[in-house]
Order: sequence, then structure tokens, then C-alpha cells
Amino acid sequence: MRQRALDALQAALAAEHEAVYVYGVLGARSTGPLRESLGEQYVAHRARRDAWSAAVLAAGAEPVGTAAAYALPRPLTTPAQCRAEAVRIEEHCSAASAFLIAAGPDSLRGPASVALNFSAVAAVRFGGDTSVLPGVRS
Amino acid sequence: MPDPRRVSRRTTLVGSGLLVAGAAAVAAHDSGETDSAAGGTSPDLMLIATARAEIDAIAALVQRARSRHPTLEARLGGLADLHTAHQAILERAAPTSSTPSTPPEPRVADLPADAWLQVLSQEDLARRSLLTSTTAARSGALAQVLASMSAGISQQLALLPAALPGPATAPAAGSGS
Repeated sequence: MRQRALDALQAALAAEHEAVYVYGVLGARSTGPLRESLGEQYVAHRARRDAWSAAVLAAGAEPVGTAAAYALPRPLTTPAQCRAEAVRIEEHCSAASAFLIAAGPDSLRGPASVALNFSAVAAVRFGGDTSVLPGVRS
Repeated sequence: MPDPRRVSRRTTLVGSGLLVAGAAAVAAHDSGETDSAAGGTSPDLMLIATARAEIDAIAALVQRARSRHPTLEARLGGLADLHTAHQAILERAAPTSSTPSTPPEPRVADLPADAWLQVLSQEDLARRSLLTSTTAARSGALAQVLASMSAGISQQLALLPAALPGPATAPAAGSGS
């Protein structure tokens, strides 16, 4: 795997690490249907993290690990604040998936496209704005 | 309060601007391809043409549904705006050398609830088709654009109800006066 493709894959993995962390925090601070929705995202991102990690290993490289810390907005207590943070992390994952599609290995385009769709939809369901080209930054 | 489903003009312009870079990437990539072996049309340009035809068809269906059923006009505004933006993006990526062919006027169901289901079904097919095309693209830039267009449709569909209240099929013959 070329270095640029590996970098894109590692970036997507790093984004998923962050998503797993963020959703763990948000889930602990939420209740009811919102907590359920956040929990579903947690499970999905954990699976995607494991998939990207396995792909890095298959390429003969060392997967990036979780960061020592992730910056979270404060306060982060109300449902609206939790939703806003969920939108932020989904848009971050959308961008990482879009980059993986463009620069990653051809074999991961399909799953990366599914990941982009998944995060783009999650972002609007948590209250984010729609976009002409989700995940593609200006 | 603005309708979140509507695609703002600014967003559309940003999207179009982005695809100038995407188009350049596609063109740059394709310039190195063996166009002559493909009869002068590279695989990626054919993908763009296919995507354009699909977007044109679904845009025509949405437009027809909105004009025939005024109750759907506002609800389908976001999708209509999105398709217009995507058409502009694809046009800039691969300008049509001649007047684009106009797809035949689509037939739209008689009842709004049926037309709604018809539009959502066709939108989902277009979304899936774009998603599938990403794996066929030679250029990573084009794959990214196609996947993102698919995600854009997915976002719009996620905000719309799966069905509208009211009958979803025509009443049986003779049931009315």
C-alpha cells in the first residue's frame, strides 16, 4: 500500500478512535432515546474502528492508537450540547471517510463510501445541516 | 425558521467550486488514460455521463411530482435543490459538448401519497447507483465526488417521512359518487 493511501487509512482510523471515545462520554451523560441513539453510534463506530485497524495490519503497518486525550466542549451536559458534539464528530468522520475514498486503497472504497453515507446521515439526524457534498471540505 | 432540508445558494456555490478541483483531478487523471483504446471516451468520463443521466432523470421526476402535486412542492424542495447543484457539479466536471438530451417526461402517480413513494423509491435507487459507481471509478477524486453525492441524497431522505398520510393507492372503482 502506498504511503498516501496508508496515511488516509490511518487518518480514518484516528477519527474512529475519537468517535468511540466521544460517544462513550456522550452516552454516559444522556438518558432516554438520545442515549439509545448515541449507543447505536458507539457500537457502529467501534466496529468501523476495528475494521480500519485490521486493514492497517493487513497492510503490514502499525495501527495508530487512541490519543492521550480528546478535547471536548464544556459544558457538555444538556441534550442539545450532546447532539451538537455528535454532529461535530460525525462530520469529522465524514471528512475522514471522504479522504479515504479519494486517497485510500481501491479495495476500501466501497466500505469507506458506506461509512461516509452512515456518518452523513447521522449528522443530520442529530441536528446538523445537510450538504451538497457531505464530507468534502472547501 | 429556514427549512433545513433546503440547500442554500451559498452551499451550492461552494459545492460547485469544490468540483472544479474535482473535475480538474478527473481530467488530469483521465489525460493519462488510454482514451484511444476506449474509443475516445475514458471509463471515468463514461461514469460521469451515467451519473449525469441518472441525476437528470430523478431531477425531472421530482420536478414533475412538485408541479403535479402542489402539496409536495415544499417537501421536495431540498431534493430539487440538491439535484440542481449536482447537475452543475457534473456539468463542470465534464461539460456536455452539445445540448444535453432531455429525458422523457416521467409519469407521476395520480395521488400525492403514491407520488411520494415513487419519488423516494427512485431517489433510493439513484443513491445506491452512485454508491456502486464509486468502486468503478479509476480516479479517487471522482469516487469521492460520487460517494459524497450519494451521501447528500441520503441526508435528504433521512429527513423526509417514509410515507405521507392519506391513501397510498387509488380507491376502488365505483366507490365514489
